[in-house]
Amino acid sequence: MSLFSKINRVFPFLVQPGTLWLLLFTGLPLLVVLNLSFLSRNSYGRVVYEYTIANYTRLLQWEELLIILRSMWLSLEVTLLCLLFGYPLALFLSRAARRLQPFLLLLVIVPFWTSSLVRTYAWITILQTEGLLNSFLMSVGWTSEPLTLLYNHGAILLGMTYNFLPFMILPVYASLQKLDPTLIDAARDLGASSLQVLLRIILPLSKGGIISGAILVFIPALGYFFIPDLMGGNRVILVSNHISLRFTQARDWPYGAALSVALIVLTLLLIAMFLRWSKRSGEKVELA
Amino acid sequence: MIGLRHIAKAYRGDEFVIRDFNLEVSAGEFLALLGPSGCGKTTLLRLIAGLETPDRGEILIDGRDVTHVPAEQRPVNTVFQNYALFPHMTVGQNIAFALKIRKFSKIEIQTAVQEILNKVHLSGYENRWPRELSGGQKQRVALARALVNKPKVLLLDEPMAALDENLRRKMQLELKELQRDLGITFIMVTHDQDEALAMADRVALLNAGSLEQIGTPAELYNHPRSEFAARFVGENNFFNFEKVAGGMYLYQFELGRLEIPGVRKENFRAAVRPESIKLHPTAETALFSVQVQSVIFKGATIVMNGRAAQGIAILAEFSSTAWPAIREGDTVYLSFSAGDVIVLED
Amino acid sequence: MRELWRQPGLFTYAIFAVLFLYLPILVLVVYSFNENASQTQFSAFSLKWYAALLSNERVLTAAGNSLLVAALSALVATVLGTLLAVGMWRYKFRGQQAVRFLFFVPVIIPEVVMGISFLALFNLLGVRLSLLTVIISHITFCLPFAALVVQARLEDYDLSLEDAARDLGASRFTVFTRITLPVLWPGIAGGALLAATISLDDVIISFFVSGPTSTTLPVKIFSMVRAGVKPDINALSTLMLVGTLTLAYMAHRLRNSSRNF
Repeated sequence: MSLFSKINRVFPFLVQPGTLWLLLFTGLPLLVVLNLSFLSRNSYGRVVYEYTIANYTRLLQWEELLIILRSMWLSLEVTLLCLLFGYPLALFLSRAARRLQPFLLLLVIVPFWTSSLVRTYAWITILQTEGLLNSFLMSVGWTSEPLTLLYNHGAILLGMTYNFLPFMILPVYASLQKLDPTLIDAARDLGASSLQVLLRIILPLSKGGIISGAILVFIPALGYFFIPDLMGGNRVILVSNHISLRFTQARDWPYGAALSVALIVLTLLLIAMFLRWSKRSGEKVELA
Repeated sequence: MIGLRHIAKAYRGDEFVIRDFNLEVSAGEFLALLGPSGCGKTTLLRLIAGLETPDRGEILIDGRDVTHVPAEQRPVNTVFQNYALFPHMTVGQNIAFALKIRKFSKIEIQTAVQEILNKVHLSGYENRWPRELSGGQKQRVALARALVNKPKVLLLDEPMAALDENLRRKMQLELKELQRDLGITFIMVTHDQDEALAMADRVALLNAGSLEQIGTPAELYNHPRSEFAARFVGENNFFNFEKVAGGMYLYQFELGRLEIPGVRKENFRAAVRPESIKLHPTAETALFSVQVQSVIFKGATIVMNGRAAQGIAILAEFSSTAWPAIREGDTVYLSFSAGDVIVLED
Repeated sequence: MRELWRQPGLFTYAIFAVLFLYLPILVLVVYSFNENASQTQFSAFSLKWYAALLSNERVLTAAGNSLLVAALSALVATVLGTLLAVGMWRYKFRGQQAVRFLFFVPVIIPEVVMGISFLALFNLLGVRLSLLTVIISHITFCLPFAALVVQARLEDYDLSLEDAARDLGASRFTVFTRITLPVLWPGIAGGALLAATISLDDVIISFFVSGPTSTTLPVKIFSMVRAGVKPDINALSTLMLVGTLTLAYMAHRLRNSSRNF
């Protein structure tokens, strides 16, 4: 018998205000969007209450599908880049001296406490034609003409990877930190080389952290419109800025709503997929 | 002092944790509530503390019905299993907590805190934080925090559970002395039979929400009433006895026949303590023979595990000087006398 | 033999990685004090871009809006989030799974979708975009984060402390004010600071729900950056940086101090 009995209640008073708030301001808006996605608009861009599935059939056109695929591809690239650059750093952090770890971790996190918009802007000032990087490259003579470093796919990748890096580092670090160091000793004792230990012991045992990190990077990356907007210069159309434009300049709300519904469904499917994958491998995935 | 009358408590509808429980505790007594985990002993303690309300029955303290008096108004204090020291208060603030609530003056509080810290040998610790204390010190603070209110009854929920073996022995003695010194009624919950026997004036043995047996440690050890009690308090050998037709007091059991005068039952189950079993040089004087399976040297005694006829396991404890070495595989000849047979209730 | 993760290579990588993380921010701050408008040539130290900000009425209004929104939404989100976290932790009830799911919705849904869904709701209800709509939206997406911080604090919270206090004579109200609140306080304050930080940083959702008179600072910066790089944005960004870093560091300290218990 538990020392303090947890009472079975119909619906505790404490939970009521928060639940009501969330129902009103997340549940209800999403239903409104769902409804909106089946409506039409007139030639002035006003929403009219004529139900149609036209928005969804439009979604299936090749150029629209391409936008979704391109966004997913970009998110995938960003996730992989975050893993590639974040994993060694997390490994370094987790193997550093115990008493240094909190400080080192803080050192890595602090830049990300600042606004992502501010950090994106910082990169723009560095990469712009009259920016620091170009002036550096010209002064060392690697180039005579300033290069166009901004407004392309690479710039978006850089901005996004920089922005999402900690979401990969933190969960991977957490899982690496829990790794029992005697496992490494045991593997060495059994004749494994350093590289084999990394590939066969450390990497598989940090899978839970990698999966958490992948969810935390991939999904928000799908919805971040201002980085592609500012660093891609509106030339690269992704789902996020596509939706944003339907609601701002294009005044095509019903289609924007349909795109949003598609994005939600896609997100949920991906999360379910990641979670199933992690369940099969028996790894604990923490999203908080 | 404390009376529990027909107490019943259920969680989730009809899952009874306590059923029709009756108990009287007299003033100044040290009572141990002993039982396996899940037998309802902690619930019983919480009912007395007022942290739970019984579904049926009444609770009396000092002749007053307190069944529906909330915890904060009962003259009872508790030492919790994990001590439940308030982490955001110093030792002194923890101890002063109840006195402040009862609006004692600053000077009164200070003297009371000093006095009780003295009593638990923690003078000078009032500005320490709970996280800076060892397990034993935490326990003393928990004790002081409860005792400073001069409760009529002190409840202790597994007070030794968080301590290591050596410290436990020491604290058992200290707690016992403190109780004698203060003359306050102590009710202690424990699952450790040694602890209960060593500390308490009376032991109440609980089984599945009911009182199995209550008595002094000696009564409980020497005269367990049921097989449950016999199994829980100390170790025992169990046999089934059946009256032999024609014989006055002659009974047949698994390993032979024995005359047990004064028993009026046709058949019964009985327990025999390992230390009641005697060793014989030859088969003639013995009651049965046993094949030795293991021998454990315990200092003053040796404990033998063996197998008798029909594969019945026998546990016996002999003085280690009484007989030359017994080895695994030996056959030994054993007996016990009628006086050592503890007749159990059905 | 050195282990792979003790090789000097990994150490060097770590140093470069940390430099890479700080470089853009440092550049930004340094050039905010530049006397001329260039982002490459540093001529002399000057505070003129900061002075320019102080005379920019629109920026000041946006900053005021942001502070008001952050304070109010952090307050409401923390109260609702704390109650929710405590309720979810203390009781078992029917529909708990559903509430838990609802609770994660604002965390999972892409921010763009959150933003447009608020816009669609306010539009349907005929509510004009104002500071109120911004605050309501911010409360919503801050709520789960505030609750999560309190929840983390609850993991070490021992309910028998409340039993002990009642046993020592405290009424239910006293237990709440003297035990529950003080013990949970670092978590609650940490949650509030985190909520304020998130609110101050938000661009995407505010972009959709702020009207012409209720622009927040990040939304203002967003439109300024779109128009082009200017040193006064550096100055403004530096100020934002100082503000959010302070808040986030305080939140971090509070979350860690709670482990001392």
